[in-house]
Amino acid sequence: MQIRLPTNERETAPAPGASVPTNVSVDHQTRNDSVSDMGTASEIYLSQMRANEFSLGQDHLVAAMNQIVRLELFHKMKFITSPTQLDWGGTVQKWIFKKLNFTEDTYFKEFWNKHKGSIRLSLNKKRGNITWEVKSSFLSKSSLYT
Amino acid sequence: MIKHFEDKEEAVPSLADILSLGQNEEEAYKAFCDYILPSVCGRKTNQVKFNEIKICEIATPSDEAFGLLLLENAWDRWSYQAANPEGETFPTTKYSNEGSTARIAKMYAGWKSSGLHRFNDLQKQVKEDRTTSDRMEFELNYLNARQASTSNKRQRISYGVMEYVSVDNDLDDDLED
Repeated sequence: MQIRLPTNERETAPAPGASVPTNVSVDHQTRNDSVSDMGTASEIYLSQMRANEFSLGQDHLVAAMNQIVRLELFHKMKFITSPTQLDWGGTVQKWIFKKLNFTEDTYFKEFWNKHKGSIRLSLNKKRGNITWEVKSSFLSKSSLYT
Repeated sequence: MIKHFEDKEEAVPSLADILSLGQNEEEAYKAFCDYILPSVCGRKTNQVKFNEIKICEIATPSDEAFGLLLLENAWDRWSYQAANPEGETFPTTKYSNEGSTARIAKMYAGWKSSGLHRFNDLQKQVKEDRTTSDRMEFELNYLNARQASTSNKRQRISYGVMEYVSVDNDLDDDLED
């Protein structure tokens, strides 16, 4: 849930905790928000902050997931050849959740279904990078010793 | 790898010898472990480990098989490129569809299904190879050679025999106050 205020009002939003009566109204039909009971700007501000934290959190989780793919999963699995390998309850999902200490609740199930495609992309990208590395090593003279 | 062998005027290991794995025909697998494997399992992150533990504890069978697959896939092409850096056309790769937009190429992210089957075979071979006595002997010898090599390098950097130039500073002035 994200509350979108007009720009000038967002910029002048009070600090968290400040209780400033306001008559800010949110257009429910066009913004799809449900904050009709909010009476103060601070409540709106706090709610907005929470919404931002929520979306930031998802970005971080995706980044953590992609990192674990690059650093660990790749060394155990080089190819994902079928979309069913990424299904909820499959080996890949269970392995990643165990590594990242994710709980298998509804929130993370939705998260997985939304972002599981990035696993395949990360793995493909890593494979491409490694191929490039191997080619460089093959053509150059650098080794472990140099 | 190729340039290093050319500079030393030694024969570049053949692909067939590299694929003999732990038998280390003509020191080919040593070359694979020196040049190719670190690129697959992480050259920088594992640099210290290569001097401390055996290959089989650093690289997974999947890493090793993937390194072999990449070599087998592009051996002809890369060898040709090394010999003809200015060349415009190169031999095709064995198991990948480079640049292809065909559905099957996209499905396996640029790899032919024969490449994926070959990868499975290589993984099996690597796992089996790791149980052989040849391989175990190779791993021990390789680790010993690595350790000897790095200890030699350390001896060369001997700070004890260096003469340092003393550069004056003003720290004493502050301490006197």
